[in-house]
Amino acid sequence: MSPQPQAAVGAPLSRVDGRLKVTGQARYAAEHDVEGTVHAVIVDASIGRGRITAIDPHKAEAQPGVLRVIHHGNAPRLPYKENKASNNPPGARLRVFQDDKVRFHGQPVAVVVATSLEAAQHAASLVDVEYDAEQPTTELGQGKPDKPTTYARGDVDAGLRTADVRLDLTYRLARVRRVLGVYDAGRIISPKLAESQAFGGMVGGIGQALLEHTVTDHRDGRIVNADLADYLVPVNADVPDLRAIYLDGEDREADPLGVKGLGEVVMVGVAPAIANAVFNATGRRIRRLPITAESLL
Amino acid sequence: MHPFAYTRAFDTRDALDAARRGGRYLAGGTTLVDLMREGVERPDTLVDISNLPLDDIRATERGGLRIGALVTMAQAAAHPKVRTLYPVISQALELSASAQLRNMATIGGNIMQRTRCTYFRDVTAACNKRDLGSGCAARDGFNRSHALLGTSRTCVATHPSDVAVAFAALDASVHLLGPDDERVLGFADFLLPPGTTPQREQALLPGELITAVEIPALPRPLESGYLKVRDRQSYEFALTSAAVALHVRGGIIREAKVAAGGVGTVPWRLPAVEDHLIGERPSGALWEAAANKAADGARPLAHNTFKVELLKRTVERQLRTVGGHA
Repeated sequence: MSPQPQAAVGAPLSRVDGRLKVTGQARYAAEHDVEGTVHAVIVDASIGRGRITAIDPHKAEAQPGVLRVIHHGNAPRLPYKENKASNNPPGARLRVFQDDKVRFHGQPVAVVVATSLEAAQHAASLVDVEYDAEQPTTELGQGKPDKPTTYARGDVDAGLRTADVRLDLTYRLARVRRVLGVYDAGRIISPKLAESQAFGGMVGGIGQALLEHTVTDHRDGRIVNADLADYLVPVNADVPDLRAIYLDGEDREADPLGVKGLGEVVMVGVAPAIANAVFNATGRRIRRLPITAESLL
Repeated sequence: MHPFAYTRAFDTRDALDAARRGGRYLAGGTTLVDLMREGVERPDTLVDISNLPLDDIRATERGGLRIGALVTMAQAAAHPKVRTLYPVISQALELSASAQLRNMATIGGNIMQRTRCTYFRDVTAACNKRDLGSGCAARDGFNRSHALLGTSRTCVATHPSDVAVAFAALDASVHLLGPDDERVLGFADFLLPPGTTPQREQALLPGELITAVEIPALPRPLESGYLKVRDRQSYEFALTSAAVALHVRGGIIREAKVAAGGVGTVPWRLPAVEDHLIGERPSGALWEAAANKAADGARPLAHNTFKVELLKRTVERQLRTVGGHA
């Protein structure tokens, strides 16, 4: 154990925000009212699939403080230009309040704008929506397949023929050479602790992306790889150059200390980033983790 | 853990006597002690042989190299003669286990190590290797890491050693000392495929002690190397591996020694690949065509089909690495 200053152990520590919080005087982020703010509350679909046949906003609009009820019947038509750089399948982009289709349970179908959050919430509960409901599909296997999406852009062969430089490369194994994480975590009070947390998340993410997988024996439900010899986590050789960058700024709205959390967030982006790197290197879009040799052969 | 007696032997005679009374040899202990903790191995007596004088590496009169059974993996990998003459051995050793294990584990123990099949190590699962007649849980279970070659109805487990693959490729032999006499077995005869007797993994007679592994004199120059493919970069057993040694003279491949690991119930020599190489001129196309025969006779299971292709590519890449002409 590292030596601890004796005076710190067992000694009371007074938090700068302690008194304010226990006396009810502390203001939380949501309590900082800004002059002229209006509040929006979404009304979401109560069916999983179908069409909206009618929306009656009158009861909601009659409530004091309510400014507008926006829905597909009165929302401005938005241009939604084709975004060629995105990976959205053509036509599969959600166009909010642009038509009467309901694609999933909880899809926004209207939004109530009011001068206070309470008024908006209450009015949202009064918006009357009628649906023509259809049976949603909840099993992937039962779904009706769409037309396969073609992501191809340009002519690869023509591009290769006319390129100034051609590289003939052999893809080997998915190995991570470098991880860079950028975090907007407010004020960093302990850089050492933040670094440990960020690096831990990156290592955990490498494991999630390339190694970790619990295997169940289909006959008796037992975990087949229930030890660290068979359940692989990254070892030093799998962990390359790691770097973490923290954006400047103290978030006084989040917390009087100006800090925000740096918890599990450090891990969530790593596996997608590695899967994107694999896509970039191989053209293969792997949608199942971990990405092991068999998914790339 | 099953209770056991522990004795220490100070010369080979002591050791053989203790083994005659039912003792099991203990050297580095990195496999046996693990398996005793799991309840897979339940010896009544352990005979600690780590003080026996079997820890030197020396050139043989026949021009080969003799590695004592108690030389540690780390010592063998670092030995100047091994490094310069047989890089395939050094590389196979250094890609095995961890630094701590390589400092403990011995060459004799390495070739005696038992399979990593998860059902073998789980005493509640059916395993013919552990309990003959109980069945094989791996055949219809999760068998991603299991063997394609040399399997039988009773067992599909792989041999886990890396250096044994290099030994198999180099036609090494195993020196044995028994209660009555000494003998030498070729590596191919020492490790036994499961057949109908999966519980018997080595052709050892009761009480026999491994004293050395000998690499025969091989034609020079001999280029060699080991490639290990695995899910993580270190401290893991092979999905596939390839030991390759080539003797090229006058632009022609005169000798080719190729063996694969991670795919066989024993280290798997690839004679079809070797035959395709001998007498030919090194080229990228030759490596590809030869490696295409690496998985001849493979019988994949539900989860290890990918190893067929992976094995071919592993062999091809290692032929390129060792033989050039990428």
